[in-house]
Amino acid sequence: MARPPTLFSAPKARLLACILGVLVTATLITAGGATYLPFNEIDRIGVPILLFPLTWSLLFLYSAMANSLWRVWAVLSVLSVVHAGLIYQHLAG
Amino acid sequence: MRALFISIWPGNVMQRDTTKKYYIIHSWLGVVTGILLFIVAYTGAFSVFGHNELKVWANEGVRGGVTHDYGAVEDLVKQHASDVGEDYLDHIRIMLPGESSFTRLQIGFEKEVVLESGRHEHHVIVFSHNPKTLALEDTFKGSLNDWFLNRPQDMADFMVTFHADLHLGNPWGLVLTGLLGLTLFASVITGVIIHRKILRELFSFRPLRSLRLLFTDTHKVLGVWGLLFHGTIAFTGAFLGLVLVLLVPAAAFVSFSGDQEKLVETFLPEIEPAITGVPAEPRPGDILTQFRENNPHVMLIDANIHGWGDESAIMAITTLGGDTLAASETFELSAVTGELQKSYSTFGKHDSVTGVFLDAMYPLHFGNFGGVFVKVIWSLLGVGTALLAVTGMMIWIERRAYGPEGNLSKAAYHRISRFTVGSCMGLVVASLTLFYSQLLLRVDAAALTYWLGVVFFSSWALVIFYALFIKNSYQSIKTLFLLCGLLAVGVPVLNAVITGDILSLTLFNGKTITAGVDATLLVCGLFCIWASRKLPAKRPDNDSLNVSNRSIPAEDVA
Repeated sequence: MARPPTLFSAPKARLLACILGVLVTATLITAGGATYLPFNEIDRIGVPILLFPLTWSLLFLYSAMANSLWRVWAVLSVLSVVHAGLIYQHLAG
Repeated sequence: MRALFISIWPGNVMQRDTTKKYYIIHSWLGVVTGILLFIVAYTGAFSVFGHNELKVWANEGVRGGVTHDYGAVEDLVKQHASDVGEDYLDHIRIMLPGESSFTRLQIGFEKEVVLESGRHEHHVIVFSHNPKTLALEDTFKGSLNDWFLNRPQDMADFMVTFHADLHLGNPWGLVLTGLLGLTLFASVITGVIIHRKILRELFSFRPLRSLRLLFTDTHKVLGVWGLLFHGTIAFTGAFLGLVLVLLVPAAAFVSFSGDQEKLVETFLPEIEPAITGVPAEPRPGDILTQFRENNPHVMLIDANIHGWGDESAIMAITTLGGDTLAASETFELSAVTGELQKSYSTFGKHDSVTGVFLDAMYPLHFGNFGGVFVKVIWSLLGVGTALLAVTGMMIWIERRAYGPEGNLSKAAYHRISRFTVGSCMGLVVASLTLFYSQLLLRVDAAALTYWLGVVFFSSWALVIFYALFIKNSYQSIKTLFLLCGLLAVGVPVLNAVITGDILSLTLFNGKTITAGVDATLLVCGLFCIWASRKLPAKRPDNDSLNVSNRSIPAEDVA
């Protein structure tokens, strides 16, 4: 008898994305946001920090809900790499 | 993001599966974090009154308020200032007892030293005086960190710290509570999405039809009515938990090459008077007296004098309870003439949007921005968040133990149920034992926290074992409600015996905070005893999902 299709594909890898991937990405976005946001110094640092719970929640729900886990990892990776690059550029420059 | 937006778009063909996915995320988030969330929410409801109601109750010396003789305080400051030496006069801090977290008059003298590593460290000499007689009780000399870590604590501090980091310390405790805030925030969002008939659920409460409906309706009603509060608490809790251990280090790494002190100084610049070298006599006593007369309704937390002995010296008075939504408000005055130079909130020195929101985080989390009335509302809503967590757990267990869901045996779900009952009721019992410990323990102030912990965690563990041992959870809940009731009712009695503060007297002799705490415990205790008598001693014969489903609309299951 065929198994019924599961609502969440690859649950273990998805769990890893939801727990670790999302936390790392949200932290990098928070840190990297200070390099490009068009505000004064205080708000450039403060706004991403204040928005961290929202950033995390959006990424978490997206990672849990998206049908394609491959796409989840791609989105998390692109966001992480872009922000890590911006941080590197800021520190090196 | 596409999946997120498509999934909440009405009329989508995948809507049913999507709602089910949100429902599964919502329930698993609740199950994994349920007990911890109950712990943090319940202790949060307690912590709302940590400073200063429970603090006052726990310290006989400041019960009934403290009348400050600011002239005598000034004499003590001047006397100590002449003893400590020039290098400790950069920053003098006067901490006033009875108004917030200080139970003694403390006068601290601070100097900044540069370590070999290039880092800065603050050294202090702190003189602690009896709040009423002003007699010197002890003197501390060492680093600011050591003074803060070794300060005497009581049951109020124990509870507030437990709420903040579960006594796991920095960083792990803060990370854990911060993550709990995040998961609660995600639960609130998913809860709103899955409960589409949210307005109807505002008034849908059928406690007498079945146990399952009691759990589901309580969960929905508490969730919907307290929606804004739960969201606010989750957001601010996540922020407050993670800001020091994750967010500030991350921001400092990028913007200040990892120098966290520099980041803090950017947001909270230190007061630096323009020293002229012209000597002048500071008048902290007169200034405090005048300030108190002009601002009779605010709490004076402390007064900080910078540039002692110079004509440009500044006295910064920190207050709570003004008309701003901020953790505190600071008034900068000339320490010589008393002229007001400026006033600002904690993060309000800069003209920034961030400052406004940062200022609001702490008051919004602890409800200390509108007097006792707001605190009571915050505390009740906090209990609502705790009940939301526990009813969510019980719904999850009910559906698996008595319904078609779940892969474990019925006995396994019963064990989870008993553990949940023991953990939650055990915390209530343990929190009540803190009142007894505070009154009965006769140990050094430095050792009090340790012994409070021993009593608190032992009683909690005992209740968990009891709940696990008794197979009939209904009976154990009934018994534990009775125990909570008796413990709560017993606190005012023991308080009267030990301290002489009889409730009927404290109501009229100015000890209103003591009376308020005792009366609240009495009312809560009587309610628990009444509830214990009303609760069933065993599960009703036909109260299961299988039976209930025949007469209850399917939409109510969600």
